[in-house]
Amino acid sequence: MRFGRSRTADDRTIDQATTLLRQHLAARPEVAIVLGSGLGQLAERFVPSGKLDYRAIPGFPRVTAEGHAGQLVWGNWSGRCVMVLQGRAHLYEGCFPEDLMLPIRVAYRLGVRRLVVTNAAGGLHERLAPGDLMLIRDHISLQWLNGIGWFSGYGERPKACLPIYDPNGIRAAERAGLRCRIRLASGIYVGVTGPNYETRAEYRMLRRIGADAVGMSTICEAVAAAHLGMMTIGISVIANVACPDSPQRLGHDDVLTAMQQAAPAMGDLLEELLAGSDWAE
Amino acid sequence: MLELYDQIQEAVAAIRQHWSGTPRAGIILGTGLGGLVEEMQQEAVLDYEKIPHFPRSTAISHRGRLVCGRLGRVPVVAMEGRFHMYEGYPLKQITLPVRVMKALGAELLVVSNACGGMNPYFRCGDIMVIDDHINLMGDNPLIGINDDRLGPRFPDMSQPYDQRLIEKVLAIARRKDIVCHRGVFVAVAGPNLETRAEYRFLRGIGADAVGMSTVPEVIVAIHSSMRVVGLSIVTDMCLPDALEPADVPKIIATANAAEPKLRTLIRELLESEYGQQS
Repeated sequence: MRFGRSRTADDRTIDQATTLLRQHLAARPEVAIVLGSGLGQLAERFVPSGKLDYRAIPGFPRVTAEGHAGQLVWGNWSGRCVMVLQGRAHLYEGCFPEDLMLPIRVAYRLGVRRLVVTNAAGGLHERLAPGDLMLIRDHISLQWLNGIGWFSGYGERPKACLPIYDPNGIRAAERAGLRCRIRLASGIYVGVTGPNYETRAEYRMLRRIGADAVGMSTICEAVAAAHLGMMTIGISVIANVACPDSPQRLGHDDVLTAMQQAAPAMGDLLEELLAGSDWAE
Repeated sequence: MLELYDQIQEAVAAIRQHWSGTPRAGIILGTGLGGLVEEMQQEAVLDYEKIPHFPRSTAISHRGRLVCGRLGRVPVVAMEGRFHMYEGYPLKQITLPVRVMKALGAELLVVSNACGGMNPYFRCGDIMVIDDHINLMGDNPLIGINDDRLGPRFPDMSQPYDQRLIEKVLAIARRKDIVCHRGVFVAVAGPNLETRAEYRFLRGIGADAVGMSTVPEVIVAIHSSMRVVGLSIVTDMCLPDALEPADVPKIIATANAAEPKLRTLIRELLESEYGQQS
């Protein structure tokens, strides 16, 4: 039953996961990067100093989606100490929001203050094309689920209401995009639960409420990070585009193929961003 | 979702003790629309309590029986009365009958409901064939670890309602002098009816009619790779600037009065689709 709250994402589990990872990680990680559907391979662009399967870390969610490895990789990437979450769990797998927030909370406890979340999204804005990268300016959450509480009161109440997607981070990412000559769109991400893809009527609705891209992830992680005062950058890869007026069938293979093609650009962008000094602590 | 597979087998086994036919279509009859079963040549009638894992129908004007038999020449199973999210059932359980219909052999789902009309060109008692839907229920029957034996992880929803069958229904309606629109159905959890502000919102996001059912069943039918036809009866008009208080007995009376039209459309559709082969 999904009604109620997660039983594994409590403070003690977060303590246990933090303790375990402190034993493994040699240095304090500065940046956490979540690699979404079909982007996991990017973790091969640096030489990791270690990795750990999610199943070995207390409370880390079980990953069942195709195209998600489900392991934590850490090391020095472009001169920065990073921890990379290679693959993620989703609400449509039956997870609670707090299960998805746990890895972010653990990263914070390990000292991470910068988060980059990536995902595969469906383009709603008519100028987006498959393979484009879109910087998330802001999000709309349509991931409310009946009977599910989002916060069990972890940590303190946020002292100031910061923008979820850090304006300095957005600027840093834009500059990084310019430096590596990548066309970087920017727009509003709307999160839905899925798992079915949207109907034509739903695509039209999402356009009308002001969204530029739609996906089934990211919101929980960004909200958890903002709650802790972490600075977040969100980047979507446009895996397909909504065409409600000339419907086309969409399958997960189409999404993964588009992601494969876009992955090198995402890798370049991440490296340029990490190497830049304008997003340092 | 991994427990569903066994539940389906158990429900099918229970039905098979009473009926050995292979249905072409599964039919779900909504609020006040149960009358169709009178026209069926009934071969077996099972109360939902007798079928393992089926929930109980608690909603007003829903009988709670599975009727197996023939409509005209076409073998069908019909649900007289359905389950709703507002009754407190999880969507997985609400939609189990659709998976059972598929397991019995049905390749088409005909789903009906009573809805509120928001498109001002609609009138009370009109029929709307569902062209597309919006899920605003705040839940999805496919959430959980996917069972690949039942369907894909990420079902395509570009055309959940079979476009050829929609055209066929519209053609039958024209021939039989039945007013039949084509529009977008939005599903909400309910159980309260909408406020005026909510009607404006739902109209604004592109919906023509609103109801508290149907979308979960359709999502599961698509997951099970069934074809789908959806028929809504407009039982009250929801025009926010001229809104009258909802009167449930009147809604049910409208549904009952319009039911023969629905019956005609379903019968003729199944006859033209399967009549030759059966």
